[in-house]
Amino acid sequence: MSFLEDITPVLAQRFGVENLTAQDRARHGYDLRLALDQERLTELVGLLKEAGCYLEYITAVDQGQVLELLYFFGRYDQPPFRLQVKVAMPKGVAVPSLAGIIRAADWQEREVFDMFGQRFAGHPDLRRILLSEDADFHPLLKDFKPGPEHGGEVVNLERK
Amino acid sequence: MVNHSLLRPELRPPVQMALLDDILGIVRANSLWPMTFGIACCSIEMMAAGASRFDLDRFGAGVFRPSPRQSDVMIVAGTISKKMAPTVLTLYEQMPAPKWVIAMGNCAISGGPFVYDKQYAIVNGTDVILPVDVYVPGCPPRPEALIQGFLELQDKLTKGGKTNFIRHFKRWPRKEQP
Ligand code: SF4
Repeated sequence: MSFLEDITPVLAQRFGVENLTAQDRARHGYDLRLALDQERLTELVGLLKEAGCYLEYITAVDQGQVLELLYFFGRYDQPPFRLQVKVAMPKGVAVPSLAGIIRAADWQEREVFDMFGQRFAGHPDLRRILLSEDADFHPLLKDFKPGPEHGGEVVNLERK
Repeated sequence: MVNHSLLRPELRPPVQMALLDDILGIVRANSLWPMTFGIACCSIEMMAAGASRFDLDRFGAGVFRPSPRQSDVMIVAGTISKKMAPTVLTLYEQMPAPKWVIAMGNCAISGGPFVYDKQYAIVNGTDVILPVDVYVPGCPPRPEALIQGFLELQDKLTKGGKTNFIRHFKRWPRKEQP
């Protein structure tokens, strides 16, 4: 009995069968995808932490009006297990921070804030992590156009 | 004072002026202590240069100090992002003089592969923020190249290597056995 078979009915029962999709691990790199409402994120993460899962990473995808946050959870297990949690919401809505439950989420959330401008409610220290402190832009948003106003030098690489 | 009769005849300076500077130059050149400090992929080659196969210790430069207060040379081994630039500058300022900087790799020389139009995150070269003594090109430079960079720096401190008798030292000629 693998962990995947254990956890699938639990997740289906608590968060809805329609939100849960099985994935081909060989193709996508993870076994399960769970689409989730942002209010239930802390509940899910509490459950996963109880089950011995760890947070692999957090990233996001800019879909125009909507920002999709992607959380990946793994478990040291044989066969290995990986779950993708997808939280989609309109831009500008704060998501509950996981830093209080999983310490490692602290810097991950700072990175998502840095690159996408996503705010996390209850984060202890939401500052820039990779860009300089005085940066006022979020470079991985689709409508970001780099320019001299972002401190970039204009370089002419054409050969004379 | 150094006893010049200890030097081989061709290494004895004909007129001994600014002697103290020369001596200090030789001493400094043969005990360059770099700082343990790497900011991107080039630092892997720097570690290799310090390890046993390439053995930077042969040139007196293998004592990587974990504190800027104890080091003479800063090897800028990697990409300086705008976030990191103030830290690099602080480290440089914390080093006691005399101090030297080796810019290792294309990133540290000019921004390297990260130079493109309107990029917003990378400093285009160490010399934008620090005075650089030796440039070691490559992406990454091989450890031999870094070692040559150190030899160049030694030459810089010892009048083009002329006074660096330790480098030119060969075995004393043996007495012929009867
Ligand atoms: S020069 Fe090349 S190897 Fe060195 S830090 Fe830059 S990208 Fe990495």
